[in-house]
Amino acid sequence: MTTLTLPLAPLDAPWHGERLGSWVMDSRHDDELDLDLQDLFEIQALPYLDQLYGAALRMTRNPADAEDLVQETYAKAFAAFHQFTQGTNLKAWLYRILTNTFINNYRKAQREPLRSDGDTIEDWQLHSAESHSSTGLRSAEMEALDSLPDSTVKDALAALPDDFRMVVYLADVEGFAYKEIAEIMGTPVGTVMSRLHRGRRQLREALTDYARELGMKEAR
Amino acid sequence: MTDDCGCDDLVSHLFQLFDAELEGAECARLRRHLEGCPHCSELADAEEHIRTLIRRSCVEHAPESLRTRVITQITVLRAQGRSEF
Repeated sequence: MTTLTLPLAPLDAPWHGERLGSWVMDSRHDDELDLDLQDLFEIQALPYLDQLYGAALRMTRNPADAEDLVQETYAKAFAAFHQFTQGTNLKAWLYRILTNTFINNYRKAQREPLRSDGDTIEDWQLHSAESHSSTGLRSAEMEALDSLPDSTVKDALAALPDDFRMVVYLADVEGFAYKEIAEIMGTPVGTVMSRLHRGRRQLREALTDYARELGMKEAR
Repeated sequence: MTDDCGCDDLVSHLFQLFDAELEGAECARLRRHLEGCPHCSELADAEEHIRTLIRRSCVEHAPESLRTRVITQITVLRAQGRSEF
């Protein structure tokens, strides 16, 4: 079996247990047991292909890179599967590999500058309070919102900076909890909340603007 | 914590409320405000619509070619693993 070193930073995450790892080590020469684990990988990990591809598309913003990213994710996950603890969150584990691979390979290539994490919770709470009066949508605008084409939403997401886009995707589309997103991205929960709040606000403002425009056109 | 929750309080916790990231008591406090405040319940309604819209728009299906690539790759990795024993 080949072993691949993964750029997965903290090893104290709940799905990083060694139970299955030592089980495989003990049975390295027992072909049958080892094959079982590999079968298990196919059975358990392959069903996430569509979801991982969706996430990869949003991250890389182009289909060719998304396919490469997903393929690399599966190769790394296969090689590291003995480190995965059965019964813990496989989806989060796969997303963590996907996210790390994206950050290490693609973002470096795109040379996008890293954002400072200086923003505080107070900062985003202040902002959200300020935007209070401008957020309410009338029913005509709500209908327009519901009928916005998929491409408009994808474009609005693509316009967000990488860090914001990733947390918004993980929360709004995949429904991960803040703590899970923090583990996937290797950042503190406070940073996740701050990025999530700012990213969502930006995305919602954009979508609300589109809906208002569409609502006005239809009212004419 | 008091029973009194203002609009500002609701607005700054709206995302957390929808994310199910709040304690039961705080959740109940915010929901009570939502029931009595038409403006905030409209905000919550809009947030619900936006979440449905985002989830709907981001559903993707991996191309068959990618599925084949991934399965082929696993097969190759498995074969390599076996040849090492």
